[in-house]
Amino acid sequence: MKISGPFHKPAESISRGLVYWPIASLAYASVPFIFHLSWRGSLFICLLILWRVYLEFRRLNLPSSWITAPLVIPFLAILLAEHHTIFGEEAGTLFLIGLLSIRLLELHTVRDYMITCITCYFLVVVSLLFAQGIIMSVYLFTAILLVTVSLIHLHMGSNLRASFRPALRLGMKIVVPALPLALFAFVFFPRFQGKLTLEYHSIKIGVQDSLEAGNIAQMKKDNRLAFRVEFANDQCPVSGELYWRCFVLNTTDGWRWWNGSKNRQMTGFKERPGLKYTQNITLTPQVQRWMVALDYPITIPTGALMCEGQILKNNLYGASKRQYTVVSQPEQRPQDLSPETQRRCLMLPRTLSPLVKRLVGRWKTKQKPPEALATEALRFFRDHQFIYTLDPEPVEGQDALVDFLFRQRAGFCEHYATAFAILMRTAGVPARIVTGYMGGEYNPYGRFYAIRQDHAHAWCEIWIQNKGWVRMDPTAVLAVKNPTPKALLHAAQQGMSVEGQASSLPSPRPSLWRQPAWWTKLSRAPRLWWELAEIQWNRWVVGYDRHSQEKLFKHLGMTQFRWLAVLAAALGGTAVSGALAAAWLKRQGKKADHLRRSYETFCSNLAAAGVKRKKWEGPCDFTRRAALAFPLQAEQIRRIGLQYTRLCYGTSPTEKALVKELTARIKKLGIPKAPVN
Amino acid sequence: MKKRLDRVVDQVKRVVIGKEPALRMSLCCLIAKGHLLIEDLPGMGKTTLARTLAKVLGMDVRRIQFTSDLLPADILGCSIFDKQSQQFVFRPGPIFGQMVLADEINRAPPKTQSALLEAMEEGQASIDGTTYAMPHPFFVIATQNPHHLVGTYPLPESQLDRFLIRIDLGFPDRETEREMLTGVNRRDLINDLEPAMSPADLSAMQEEAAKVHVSQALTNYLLDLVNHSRCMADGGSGLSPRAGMFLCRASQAWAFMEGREMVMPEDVQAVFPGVAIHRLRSGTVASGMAMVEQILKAVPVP
Repeated sequence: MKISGPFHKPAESISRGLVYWPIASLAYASVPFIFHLSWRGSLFICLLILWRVYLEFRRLNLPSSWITAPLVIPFLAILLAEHHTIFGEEAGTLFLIGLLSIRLLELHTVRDYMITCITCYFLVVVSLLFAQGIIMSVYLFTAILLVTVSLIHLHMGSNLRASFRPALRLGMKIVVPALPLALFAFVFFPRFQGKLTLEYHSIKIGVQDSLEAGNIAQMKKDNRLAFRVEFANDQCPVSGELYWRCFVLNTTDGWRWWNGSKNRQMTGFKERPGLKYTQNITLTPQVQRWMVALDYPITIPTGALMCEGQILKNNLYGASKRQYTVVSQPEQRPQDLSPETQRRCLMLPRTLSPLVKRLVGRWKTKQKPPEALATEALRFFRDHQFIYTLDPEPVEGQDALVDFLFRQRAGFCEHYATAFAILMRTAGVPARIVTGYMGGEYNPYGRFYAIRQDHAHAWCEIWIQNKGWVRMDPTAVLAVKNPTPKALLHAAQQGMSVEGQASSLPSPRPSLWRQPAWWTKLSRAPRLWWELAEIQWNRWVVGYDRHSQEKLFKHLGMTQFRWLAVLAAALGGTAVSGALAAAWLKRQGKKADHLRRSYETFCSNLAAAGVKRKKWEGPCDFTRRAALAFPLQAEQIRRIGLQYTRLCYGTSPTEKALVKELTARIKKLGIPKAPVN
Repeated sequence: MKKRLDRVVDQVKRVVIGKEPALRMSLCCLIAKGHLLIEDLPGMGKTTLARTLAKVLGMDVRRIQFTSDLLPADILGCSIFDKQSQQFVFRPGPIFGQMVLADEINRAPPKTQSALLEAMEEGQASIDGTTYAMPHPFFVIATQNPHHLVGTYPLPESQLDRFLIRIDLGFPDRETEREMLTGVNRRDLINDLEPAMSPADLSAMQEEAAKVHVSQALTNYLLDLVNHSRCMADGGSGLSPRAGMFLCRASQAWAFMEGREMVMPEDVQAVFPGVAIHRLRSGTVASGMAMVEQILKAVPVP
């Protein structure tokens, strides 16, 4: 396939129909950014692209720049309204896309076409700032292929239907060989930690260190992976024990909860006989700077602190630790109750309604132990037909608690935990809220538990003398079938997974998005496999940083190295290989075939002997001259010349055998010697 | 064939001395079915060359001396009323000859020039609504004086383009000139010459020459040459596609004269100046020659 380069005619207008290629390239290159743009911005860009397609389709003239230039203003307005700036990676990229779409309306010439395509390459690379998943890499490859094919089309001419396949083939030929090179560069090119690395752009996920209405409901609708856990020796707890604690909140103003006391460090945990779970926890890169552990951690991973409430905190500022090992024992309940904690855990909101006091007063007729009071509260939830729902009617303000307890009686873990904690406090039992995750999905292929954002949970802990802080999960009692006091208490402590059974619970508003059961069942295995693949990808590809690279280099035997030297070698290697490739391409262009190559050998041999062929000299003239110069080999030279001319200019097709013969003859001649006078 | 051609050359050489390259070029032009333009100062032997060629090739030669008052009808002929038959009878002009020698073509006004040039290009002439075909072979040798001489109408590029090959003769060297001075009168010599070839032979040769093989590589070379002439900074508009076709034909004819079955780059290089100079030059012949050389040296032979 011959490609004539229009490089020297940048101002030439491009032929009709060809415009679809840069349009498609731009549209495809901007796909990953659409999710970062509001519907207004997306609509604007879509309309511009559709307009351009329409103009092309109807063969209409493009609008003048008097019309296109002011189009920047509405787009700028949309952008500023949403991002308040046009700089920064997100707003900047969207601004670029907008300008490019407007520019499509001014796409007349070959030069415009090339600029659009090259900017599309840039856009494709920029999309890496926003996501680095598996799908993203596949997308990246296809996008680069598409843009390359567009450029090839520009250089091939306009006959679209006839040229698509060869263009695609050529594009593959260009892009596919680059893959191993890219892989090599990915593995060996020096990496820099710090300012040069990509910032993980995604929205941070994880539990917040305070609890407010709707916090958890939002998380429940997000099924991204939060962390994953591998249990050492495959010793897994039963599902009711899968309470992953994150924060302990002991202060409230009625509806919002936070940790009011100073972080006191705790140390000196000892392993006691009994159940013991060793967890290898890997947080996803996006999670916020906290550490999660099964109830109740007894070891402190390096770089972490154990704080009041037996929770782990990252003490490294700046570098968040993603992977750690922690040992938990379900029997080692927190035993600390300082006077300050006790005071805080009994504090009631100032605006507590007398209705609540009256309710609790009814249970407190006699001096009951805390367990009995808790049972009363749990029975209250169970008996009054409280409903589990993720989107209850919003209740706010001072009467929120009353509204929930006496009127609405619908909500989810957050409501139950706060209500339960306040009820307990009113009854004089120290109570606090713990946030974290409950449950997890076991992935049999990767032998780990995957805990997603929608596993987020909030529960309570109450202080019982001689027992310590006992877990009470009021949400769990909603699913209890036979509400005896013992069963209720057991459910609250052992956590029956209500969330798992949420679909079976009565719900005031049916959810539309719930998947049918058969689909959930059928898609389970592929989903788990995919999850495993993603995790491995994150671990080996996204997580391949300077540290892993150093490790790899050491593994390969390069123990003594300096990063500057590696960088210099990499840059030098790139330059040298680029130069080599350029030289090779140039040679390749010259060397059309064997015949030419052997003739060139012949010429260079003669040049070495002192008779250099001028580039415009024909073979007859040249061989005649050479034959005169080397009378001893004159006959041979003449024959070579004759044979070459016959092959190159003659009527007979160039046969391989003849070319071989000529090559052999040329080889035999070698570098002729000039006669000694 | 080659022998016969050599005989032609030998015969002509007896009369036109020391002009073998120009002579070969003219023959090449003839075999390539093109028309020849000889450009030189008066008295350099242009007419002699043309007449000798015609005589040796056994063609009937017509000569038209172009003057500033020559009219198209003087070339093409006109219809005359015949009293006896009471009809208009066409009397063909001097153009209806196998070899037409158009002497000093640039002395005639453009209107007359164009009458000749149409006949050259189309191989036919339309007079009073009737079209008359030219005889076969039909070969025009035009001579012209360099432009700067007084009383000339320079041929425009479009008309120059119709001549396949342009040659100049140049001054003879001292010995040649001595021979011319001392020897027999050249004009008398022409009359003594015997035709070495018949027009039918020439036609056969033309057919043969058109069959000479042009390989892919050579076509590329031709295209490179033509392209390069178009890219040159001071080359005007460069060589036309017709010029490219002529170049190919001339190269074939040259290869044929060399006795080859295929065209070589050397053949192209041999005819290239003749084909290209009058199409390229912006001013003088010297600048045209320089440009031709520049092109030949810039384009690599495959």
